[in-house]
Order: sequence, then structure tokens, then C-alpha cells
Amino acid sequence: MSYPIVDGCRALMNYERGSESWPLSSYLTRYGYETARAVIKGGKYAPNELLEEVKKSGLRGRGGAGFPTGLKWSFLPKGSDKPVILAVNADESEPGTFKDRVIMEENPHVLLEGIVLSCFAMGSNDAYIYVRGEYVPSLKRLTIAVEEAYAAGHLGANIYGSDFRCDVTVHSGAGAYICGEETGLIESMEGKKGQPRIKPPFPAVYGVFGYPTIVNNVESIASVTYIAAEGADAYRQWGTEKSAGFKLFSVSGPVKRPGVYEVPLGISFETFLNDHLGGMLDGVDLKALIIGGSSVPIVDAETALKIDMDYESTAEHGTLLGSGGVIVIGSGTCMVRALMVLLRFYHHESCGQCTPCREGTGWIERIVTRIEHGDAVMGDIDELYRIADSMELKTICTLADAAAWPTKSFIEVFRSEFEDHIKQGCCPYDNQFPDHLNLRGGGAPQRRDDPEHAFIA
Amino acid sequence: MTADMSGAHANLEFSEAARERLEWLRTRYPKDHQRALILPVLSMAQREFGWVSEQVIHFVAKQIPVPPIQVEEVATFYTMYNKQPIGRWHLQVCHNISCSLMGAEIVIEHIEGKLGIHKGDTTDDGEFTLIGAECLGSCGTAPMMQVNDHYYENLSLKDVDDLLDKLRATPDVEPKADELPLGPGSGPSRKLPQDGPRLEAGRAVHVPHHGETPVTQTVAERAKEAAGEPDANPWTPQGMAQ
Repeated sequence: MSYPIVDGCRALMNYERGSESWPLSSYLTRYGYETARAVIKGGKYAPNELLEEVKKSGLRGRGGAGFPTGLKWSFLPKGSDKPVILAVNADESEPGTFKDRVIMEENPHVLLEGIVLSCFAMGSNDAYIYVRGEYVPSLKRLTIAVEEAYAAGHLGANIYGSDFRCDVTVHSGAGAYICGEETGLIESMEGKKGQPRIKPPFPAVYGVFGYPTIVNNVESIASVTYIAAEGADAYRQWGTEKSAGFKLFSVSGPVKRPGVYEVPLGISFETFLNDHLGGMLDGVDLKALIIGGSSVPIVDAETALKIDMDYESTAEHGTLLGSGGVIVIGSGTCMVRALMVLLRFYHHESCGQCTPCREGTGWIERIVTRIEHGDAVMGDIDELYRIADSMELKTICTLADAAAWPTKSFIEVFRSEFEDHIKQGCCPYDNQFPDHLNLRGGGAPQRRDDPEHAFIA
Repeated sequence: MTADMSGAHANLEFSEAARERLEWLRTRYPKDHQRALILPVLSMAQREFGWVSEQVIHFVAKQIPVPPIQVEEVATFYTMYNKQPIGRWHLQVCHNISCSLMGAEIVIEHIEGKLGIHKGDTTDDGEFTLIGAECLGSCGTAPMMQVNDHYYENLSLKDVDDLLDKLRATPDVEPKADELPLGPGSGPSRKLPQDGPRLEAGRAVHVPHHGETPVTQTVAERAKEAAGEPDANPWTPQGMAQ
């Protein structure tokens, strides 16, 4: 038996969607914990060999930054007598991103097995999963999965009769976007406000509780399970040279089949949209695309259709792959309003530590609100751009940049819409919510057919 | 809500299940870093006492123990801690980009009109509190709202009407054993339900809160029932260096 793959590349979602895939008994039918057993008990890899394999696989951090995971692990100080901590970042809060939630709710054990393997590779015995507080279903499923894994001997002391110990604690956040930033997460785990730390020292040297700490995204750690099972070369059969492997994309907006998809990196957005998402809703055209969560620069429809979904192609077209939160924007959407919504979010979530961010996010939100309401003058557009520009790279973490990038790109790509608002003294989009949404009832909506999400009682 | 809050949280005491969990939590973090307990214990306190008053802050500080200011810092920084009493049903409508593209504002306006309150307010009868929430990670099924612990997705205005009626008519439900209001996180005090956890569609589970019959007692009883005789801690001590 080997690690099962469904539909050619579904490795983390290798089960029938909508089936009861989360209990340990189900996971065991999918090669569950065989890899951990082979590595820890069978000696398939020594820790440093596994680390090398992860490096060789080309796995890049799936939380947004895309930093090579194996390389990050290798920054841990050698020969330190302090315990090493693995902090799994499950504070998935980037607007448009809901992929980690699917792993935690539908396949939590693949994450736990990844944790065991990653801890083994990096010489850690203690892992924490920092889950955003709003994700109650994820917290419940993970909690149960952890208990199941302890009871079955996949976690705890002397795993599989070896002298390797791996303890996992599920730690809940309490509602703060900034805690997804790795040092914000560390501060929060220590019971403080989630205000990011100045780096250096990097977490690998001085992290949570002052111990060497690796912070990795849920999807990155879950992917380690496959890499350890089948090896780096098998992982590299998907994706491109520099963007290896598979990746989860969470898709929202007016498409026929929104949801989470696991596809090889490098797939063209056009193919993805037409083949996987079923295209745009009838009567709606693609207007713009935010491909990697709300913080990445927006691109127009023409550019979107040229993008391949990998780190290099997105960069070539002026945006970023980010977290893989694909926000599809349809015709009829007011871009000024969309930006206003985003900036309200960043203003709300600024931790208040650095002045350019604390003040800047408020200024740009207020200016965009003024433009949207038709109370602005032409000079405001450049003022907005100037402020956003001067917020970049001035702060401890990248929240200010995450607010600045969309602001600048919205203006660059859709400047005429900003001008129209000012010229007309009001928002020209009187019908911001086209009838296809069918919010007001009176006909079958175009998309309500996804049984696994039919949460209405 | 304009109820008199003085004395709302006098003589605070954790339920037995919560105390048990607190003791367990202490073992999950290094001895020198018990400050890490603030978030989980505060979450637990909110579930037990309904909202985070000044008394709750002092109570939590004493339990850990840490100076109250450290708890207050946390309580005021994170949005999930309610610094005021909230309604029986906490309607949190996501109004971030993906939901907004699919009409979240219309949903909010609709609820405002129906309940006669604005975002941030609680109805006079204490049934509903309405807030606009930032991205709740349910973007593919927008528009959506979270009500207490449950997500309701793919909403149409009719769904909202039905849901509000249903909530209003739902009596307070005792939490099931697998949904003990112990605050999120793992804990050894419960046995697994035989068939694994079930997150059933739209099941209205009510989290106990302020001003009601002392649910804490029920919770403790429930926990005992679920756990049988409390086992000796089945987990190895963490053994983390200090």
C-alpha cells in the first residue's frame, strides 16, 4: 500500500468530499500513520535525512510568504540544549482564505502525522497548533483527533516503542488577524497582545517562551506527510521547477462552484476557472482577480487569464500567490467599494504598534470612504496612493504593506473608477449586488447546490 | 442591553469541569510561562460567565495567577472577548470582501430592519446581538453569519428570516457532552463520543451565559457523566524543560 492520491493530485484531500473522513478509523484506511511508523520505528529516515528530503522537495510555506520550509527548519541552532517548539499556524484569517479549515475539519490526522514527522526532523518534542478562535468546528475536530492519536499511541511519549516523544496541544486564539503573523502568533501564544516582534532575533533562535521555534502553516506541515511517505521526487512530479507540488486554493466570488480545490501548482488560472470552478455565474463576467488572499495586488481580467497559479507566474504579472485565497470579482462590482471594505478590515486589524500602520490604515480608509461616497476631490486619489506608498516597508510586520498593496494596485488598475466617483459626486454603481445573487429570493439561486455546505437546518 | 450590571458577576466560581481543565492546561505550558494560560482561561471564563466583566478579569488573573493588567490587556486586544453582556444569540455577519461581493451588507441591513437595531446593538429583549464580523473563513459559501458557535452559510434573506424565527423559538439547550463549553482546546476530561464528533447542520446549541439559571452545575454533571470516573491523567506529563 502506498499513500493514496485522488483525482490525480489530491493528496491532502484524498477522500470523498462530504464523507466522514475525519475520524482516525477513516484516516487509517488512507495509509494513516504508516509513514510516521516507518520513519520513527522503521528508521526510514534519520532526522537530518528527512529534513534534507523536505528541502529537496521544494515545499514552500503555504501561509502566504512562500519561504522554503526545509530551509526554515535548517535555521534552528545546532547543539542548543533548549527545547525546540513547533508552532503550527492555523490562525487562518486572510480574507478569502479558508483552505486550512478544510484540512482541520475533514482530514485533521494528516496534519497530526505531519506534525509528528516534522517534529522528528527538526528535533522537537512539543508542538502547539494555534487555531483562530472563530474556527469552532476546526477546534473540535482537532481536539478529538489529538485525543484519538494519543489514545492510539501516535502521539505522546515513546511513540511506536521508540524513545521519541511528541506532545501536541491545541491552542485557541481569540480573534485577531495579526496573530497570523509568526511573531504575533508567538506573542499571543505567550498570553500577550499579538503585537509582532522585531526580527532579528528570528523565531528559529528566540521564539515562543524564548525557545527556538518554527512557525509553519497547517498546509505546509500536512504536506510533509506526503513528502515523507513518497519522497521528494514524487512530490516534484506536480508543479513547476520552482513551485513544486500541490496546493490548496480556496475560491470565493461569483463563480459556479466556489470552494476549496487541491491542484498542482502552475495550472493556468483560465483552466482552473473553466474546468474546476465551472466558470463564472451566468450573466456575470470576470472583472478582476485577487489570487492570493486580500493582501496581494489585484489584477484585471485580461491579466488574470494569463496567470499560471504558481509563485513565479504570479510575480511576473505583478501579484503574489500568497495564501491561495482566490477572490474572483465579477462585472458590476464597484472597485472603490471593494477597496473600502478591505481597508476597513486592515484598519480594524492594525495592532497599533507602528505609527505608519496605525495611522496610515485609518487615513486611507477614510479617504477611500470619502471617494466612495462622492465627497472627494481629484487630488485625493494621488494622496491616497502617496500615503499607501509611504506605509510600505516602514513597519515591524507586513500588515501595513498588506493594506498598501491592494490600495496601490486598485488605483493602478481601476483609476478611472475612482475618477468617476469623484466626477459624478456619487457611486456610479447603483446596483452593487446584481440579481444573480438572488438574495431577495424569487427563484432558484445559481449556486446553493453544494451538499457539504448546506448548513441551514 | 441596558440591564443593571452591578453585581452581575459576584462570587465567581468555575464549574468542576472548568477547574479540571484549568489544572490540565497548567501542564501544557512551561512552568515559568503560565502567562500563556491567559487566552484559554479567559475564553473558558467567557463561556462560563457569559461575558468578560472587570470581576471576570480579576477572577481569571487570580486563577493563573498573573497580574490583572495582563489579563485586561488581552481582554481588550482580542475581538472575541465580549466586554459587555451580549444577547442570547450573537449574530456575527461577515462583511469582509468575499461576503461583501455576495451581498453581506444587504443581509445586515435586512437584519437591522427586522430586529430594529443597528450593528453593534442588542435587542431590548436580550435575544439578539448583531455585529459585522471580519472574515470568518467561509468565503466560498458567502454570505454567511456565525451565530454563537455555528456557521450558517449561503444565506438568502428568506434563510435569515427563517433562522431568526427558529432561534427565537429555540429554548435554551443544554450543551451536548461533545460540545461542553469548556473553551476551545484539547482536554482530557471527556471521552470521545462513540461515533466521533458530529457537527450537524444548523443545530442550535446554546452556550450558557449571564443571568440564567446556573448552567455551570449542569455542565459539571454532564462532564462527569461523559467522562465516567475521572481517569488518572492518561497523557504523559509534558516534560518540557523550564
